[in-house]
Amino acid sequence: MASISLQKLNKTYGALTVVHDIDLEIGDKEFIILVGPSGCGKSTTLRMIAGLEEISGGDLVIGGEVVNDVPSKDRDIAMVFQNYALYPHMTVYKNMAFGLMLRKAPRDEIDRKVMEAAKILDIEHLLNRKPKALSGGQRQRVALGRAMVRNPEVFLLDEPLSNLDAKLRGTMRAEIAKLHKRLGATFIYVTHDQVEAMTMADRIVVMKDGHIQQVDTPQNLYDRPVNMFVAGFIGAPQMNMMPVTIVRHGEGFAARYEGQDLPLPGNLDQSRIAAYLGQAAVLGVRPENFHEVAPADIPSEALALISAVVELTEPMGSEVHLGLSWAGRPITAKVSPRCKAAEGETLHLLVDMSAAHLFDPKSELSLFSDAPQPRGIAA
Amino acid sequence: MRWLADHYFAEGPGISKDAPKRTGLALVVETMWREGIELMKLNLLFVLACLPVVTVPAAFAALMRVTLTMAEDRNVYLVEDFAGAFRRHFLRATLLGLTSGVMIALPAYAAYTYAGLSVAAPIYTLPLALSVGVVILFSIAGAYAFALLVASEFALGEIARLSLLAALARPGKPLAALGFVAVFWVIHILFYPVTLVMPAIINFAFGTLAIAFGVHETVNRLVRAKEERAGMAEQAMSGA
Repeated sequence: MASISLQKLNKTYGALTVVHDIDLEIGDKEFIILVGPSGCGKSTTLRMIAGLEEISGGDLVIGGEVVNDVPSKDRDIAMVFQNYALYPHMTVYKNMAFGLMLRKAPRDEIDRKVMEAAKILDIEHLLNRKPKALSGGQRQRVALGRAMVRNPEVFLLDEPLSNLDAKLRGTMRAEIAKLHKRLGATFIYVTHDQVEAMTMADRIVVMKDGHIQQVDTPQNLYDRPVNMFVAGFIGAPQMNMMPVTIVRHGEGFAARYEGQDLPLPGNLDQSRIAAYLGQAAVLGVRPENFHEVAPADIPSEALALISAVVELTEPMGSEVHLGLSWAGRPITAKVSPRCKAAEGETLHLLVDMSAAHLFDPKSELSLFSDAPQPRGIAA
Repeated sequence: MRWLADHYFAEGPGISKDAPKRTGLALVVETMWREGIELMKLNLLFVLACLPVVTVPAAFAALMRVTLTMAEDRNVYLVEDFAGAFRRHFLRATLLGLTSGVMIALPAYAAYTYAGLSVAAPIYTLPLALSVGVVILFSIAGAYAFALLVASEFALGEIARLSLLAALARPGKPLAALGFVAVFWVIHILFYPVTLVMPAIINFAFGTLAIAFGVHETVNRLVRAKEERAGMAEQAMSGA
């Protein structure tokens, strides 16, 4: 049983606080990913869980036991580092066996565990090689194998794929996700790559400046970001944000942007919108919610027609990213590769307002979401 | 220091799973290159273990055990494996070492004598060649014998018989390995005192690894054949 509880966990370096009283509950066998920009405190949080950083305040509870003062080696955790941290003078076998050798495990057991891990990771042919000969992906597998042989309750992975090229990252992402299912251990993974976070996690913890912004499933984070930071951080290209004023629009409401009223359809919480009537708000529209033609599955009353000038086209193969100027504000739209918009041309696009987001410009919180809820285990 | 860090930590080209495994001399060179530091430590260990002199055969058996493992591309726990083999084979290795020593020393002495005589009377060239041949044959048989000793549980008599047969049937690779060993010692003598430390860190371990590569295929085949025969006999017994 390896549930982990961070209770008002805090880390300070002198006068500088890098992790501010964070609360987080991580369930047994859960794959949780800490994501955020550089310096947000995600790696520090992971290192506190690992026991590599002293905890300045709060409690860290693993398996029901407060482990603030328990040495790293006694926490039944294994960590995989970004730079692999393999011993260059040891063979792959010895790198993997080292932890068990230190614990004076019997040789048969070491051999069995190393061979098992090597088989799972498909590195049997590398066992008697030195890390110098291995590629980045192979080194990362060895680092994973070294963690696996200890059979820990908790795996901590600190940006393990950052040093790999894009293709290999994709392969390793899938392998780590499979590994998590196979091992049935708790995984805590740190990354600044939202694709990794979205594709692998049971839940994602978004952090900024040492604070947890939101904890939720990948899809919920994408669909219901609690604030502008999460909305902007999750999704690529990032969400477009426009300053609007909430106005009456027939029976309902609209977001007025540069004199144009964009209807806010009934699927959006009208009571919350009503509270902002006549007030400023921030409208968030994801790039994929711009359409050249009306999609069949979206009611026409939820679509708003806009005109924008094409400033940049980025063909991505399966789609085209358009850099547009909408009433002088730069926005990004994701359209089909068939779109033949030329730079400088004025393009008419339909905005799916049923998928729009509204934020309070001062607090930056979403109008449709309750206050951030960092605690709680996913059902 | 940066070059050192780059040397150690820079990513390598990777090793393809389907890459053909090196064979022959290329495999020997690759293993020596890869295990270089371990071999130097092993050499030192061997020299230390030989200090009491009577322990030389057991130390050589232990050296053979570790290098055979390296030649078979298996993981080695240097000190543990060496010490384990040293203790385990001490008595049998001592007996085998003494026997092999005598078996090689006698024709070697004869060769030395005939070499002296052949200067005055060329007729002695023939027994000289014969003696040298016997020395070489027994040296090869000795290499096989030590490898069989550490790789099997055969009785010493069986080891002597099999190693002589192996030396007669497959002398090529071990002979080349012994030539490799000889090269080390010739280099050591030619460049002395520059090569003063060579025997302490290189000659024995690298030489024995070469011998291990020379004998391990035949030794494994002999051990497997013996095990299969034993298995068949057991089956026949249980059937009867």
